[in-house]
Amino acid sequence: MITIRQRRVMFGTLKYSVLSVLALVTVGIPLWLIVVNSFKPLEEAIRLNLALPQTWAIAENYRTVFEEGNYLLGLKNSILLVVPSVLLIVLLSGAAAWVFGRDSRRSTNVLYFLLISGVLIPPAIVTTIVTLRNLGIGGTHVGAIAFYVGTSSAFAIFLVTGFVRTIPREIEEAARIDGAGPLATYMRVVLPLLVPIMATTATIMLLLIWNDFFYPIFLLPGAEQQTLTLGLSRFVSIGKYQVSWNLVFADVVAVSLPLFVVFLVAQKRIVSGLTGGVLK
Amino acid sequence: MSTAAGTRRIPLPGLTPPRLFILPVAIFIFLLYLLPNITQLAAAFTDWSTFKGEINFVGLRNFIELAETGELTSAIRASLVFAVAVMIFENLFTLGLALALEKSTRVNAVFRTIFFLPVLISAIATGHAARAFLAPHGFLNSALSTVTGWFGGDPVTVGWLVSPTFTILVLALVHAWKFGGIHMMVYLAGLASIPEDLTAAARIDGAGAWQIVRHVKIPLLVPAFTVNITLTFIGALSAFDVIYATTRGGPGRATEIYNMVVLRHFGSGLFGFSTAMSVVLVASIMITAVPLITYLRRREVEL
Repeated sequence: MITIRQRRVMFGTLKYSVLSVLALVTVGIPLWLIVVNSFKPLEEAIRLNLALPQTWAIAENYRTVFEEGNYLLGLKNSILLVVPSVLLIVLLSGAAAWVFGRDSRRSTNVLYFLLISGVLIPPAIVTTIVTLRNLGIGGTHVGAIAFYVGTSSAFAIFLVTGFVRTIPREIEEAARIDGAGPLATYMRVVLPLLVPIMATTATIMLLLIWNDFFYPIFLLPGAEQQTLTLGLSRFVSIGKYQVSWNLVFADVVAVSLPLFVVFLVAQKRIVSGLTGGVLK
Repeated sequence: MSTAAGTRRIPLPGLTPPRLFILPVAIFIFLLYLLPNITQLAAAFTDWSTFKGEINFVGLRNFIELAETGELTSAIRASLVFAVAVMIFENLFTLGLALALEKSTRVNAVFRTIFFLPVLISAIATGHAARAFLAPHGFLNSALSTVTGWFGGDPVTVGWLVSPTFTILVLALVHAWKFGGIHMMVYLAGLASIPEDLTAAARIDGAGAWQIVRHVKIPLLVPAFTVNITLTFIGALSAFDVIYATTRGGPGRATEIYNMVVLRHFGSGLFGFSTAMSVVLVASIMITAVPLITYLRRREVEL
């Protein structure tokens, strides 16, 4: 006779065994393969197995990535692109979302759906490039930042508006009655209440823009402007006959590292924000 | 979407925030999103290219030529198969994971983090790694050969990335691996929003674990389904990176999804073809995703 308690323990053991195998096969092994093979010289990395390197080539591989791969320039470009984009998206979308969450007039609603249509319909590429050129900011970071604000704000407005609707309006109305102007009310009363959803939105935008590859091909074609993610294909196309997988993987590790560091530091905030924010 | 909690009352006049606050972001969205999308719709019907000085209206010629070369049908086919496969893989796996990791215990937090890690790696990096793992003598085939070797079988030599039939599904799995973590989080958020007394009541009424999932949790998860099904489907329709890094659209055109064609014609300076293919992508989303969202929204239950 098996008691309910015993059955529950057995079920739990089974569940976590399955989950462990799954985590190992789907995440553990791929990540291990990337990291360990980035430590090997080319002859060993070609075989692409789980074994530790026989000859360690960490210094050589990563030096090549840093020097030939121009890592620091890519890092600088990625930061110069991502930080202003994310800040602008979050601040400007937040201000608009405040109005959309409060103003129920039909005309405002129409504007809302027009501005969030970017959640569904992807950006136009060729005509955007022409627009940026006409504005005199083609191929520059300023142009790319403007592009991300113009195209990614839709999702930010959508997320923040949903959140604004869940917070009571009495506090800000009290501030207004006490004589605070709209701007002061937004900065001092509304914005602090929006911090959780702002953090979530900023995280999602950070991940998307940092890792973006398709649009930067068009937006930042110059070698001087190249982001880390754009540079990732460099070691694949050198020597067409034999791809230097050790260098490709070292580059993958070096490019992903900043996001892993951010994630480790802000993990709690990110996970609770992601789980709390998206469905509001 | 929920409205303000509690009783609805008429807002005090003059206290709604001024619409001027919408202006800054609206300028960006108008200039760099709406306007280019409108002009793209017009450009798709012209012979705009780098080879000619003037731009002429050519009616449907771009679409007809894309159809005649076979690119149109192959792109529609590849994109839809890819998007449906991604949608199914991503939602099945991540819903399963979310249900298994629902309770916020310390162990579950560790597992959630592990399954979220691929989200941090860029899709292009994922694609490069996948190309190495799935090569004829890559890691997957050697690992499988080791297993078959134990049973005296032949070495495995599956060409994961060169099949005209199943490579598109392999790529869908790779894409789903990279983005799944986000959708697991959305399902976890949906599960966290289900009041505990509802599941407790069902349990007291004698419902088993599976019945609670089927009759209490799934119906209340519909808002999460709406977000996830829509985002996975649209995300896959406008995908690019994984396929660019692995097959570049091949073999033949078997995996050439919309944006691969868009880039190819842009690269050769044929902007008319490039914009026409973008318009086909937009149309595909309008035709498939909009009815899907309408259907899902109708099934959402208000608590």
